[in-house]
Amino acid sequence: MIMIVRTAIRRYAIRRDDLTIMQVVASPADLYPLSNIDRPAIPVDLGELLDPADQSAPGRKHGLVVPLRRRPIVFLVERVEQSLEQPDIQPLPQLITRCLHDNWAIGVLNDDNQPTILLDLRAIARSILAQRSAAN
Amino acid sequence: MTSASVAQIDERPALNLLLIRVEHELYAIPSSSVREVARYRTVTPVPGAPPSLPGIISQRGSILAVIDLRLTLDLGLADITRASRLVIVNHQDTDMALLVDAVLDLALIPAEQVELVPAALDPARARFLTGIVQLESELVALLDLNELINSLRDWS
Repeated sequence: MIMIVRTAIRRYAIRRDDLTIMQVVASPADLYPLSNIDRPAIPVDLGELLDPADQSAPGRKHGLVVPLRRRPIVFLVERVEQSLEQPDIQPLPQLITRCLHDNWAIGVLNDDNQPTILLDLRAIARSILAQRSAAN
Repeated sequence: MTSASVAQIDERPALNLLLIRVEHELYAIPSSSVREVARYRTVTPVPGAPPSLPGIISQRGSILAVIDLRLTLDLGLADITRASRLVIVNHQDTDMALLVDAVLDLALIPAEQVELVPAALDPARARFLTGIVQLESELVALLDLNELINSLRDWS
């Protein structure tokens, strides 16, 4: 199943199978139940991560939890908008895929002639953890 | 030049070109590679793509990479205007949309009018050109679509 999520200024498609939980995150306290006992969840604003211009206002978000072995990553989005059982997913043009820094974008949902990028949230989560490990 | 070589030059077919404007410069694309010209519409950005590839569009159900010719030719960023166009091109079995500042006209240019790219031109831009043509009072640079595609294939 594919979910459509909305950030401040964009829409992305994600795979439901990449997540364990989706839940409202209205304050930092809402992250505690999403954390492992000794490994607190890492909240990441998905829109800002992918595009620095995609800044959302503080407040109530939807949290998408990707369970990595070391620490869960909680991607924050404005809202989960839609779910699709049999979406029309197409590959990204090769001209683009050859130039990507990371393999975070893995396809395109072509819905009503409006392309929406399909993200690999697990790959993004792994990159975040790797960057944090390298920084520490 | 021998009479045989003159005859050879004269037999070269004329070039059918689509004239476009990027910044204040004129460029030409072989018409045979142009599928259609579309008004600019919002491009979907792809995270991690370089600035010269601002994103993708869906054109008649196909997903196409958009190439910003301004940035590719190192001419700097500019705002989209009412004249901005997406030139849909097929070359080397690759479909793509070239973002240009304006589409001007079609032109039929005798091949013998094509001159070499000036040696003094910035190599970063010259690599994307196959030649230049004097068209009335303006110089038109002929875009090398092979090199454009290869530069993106070699990007990583």
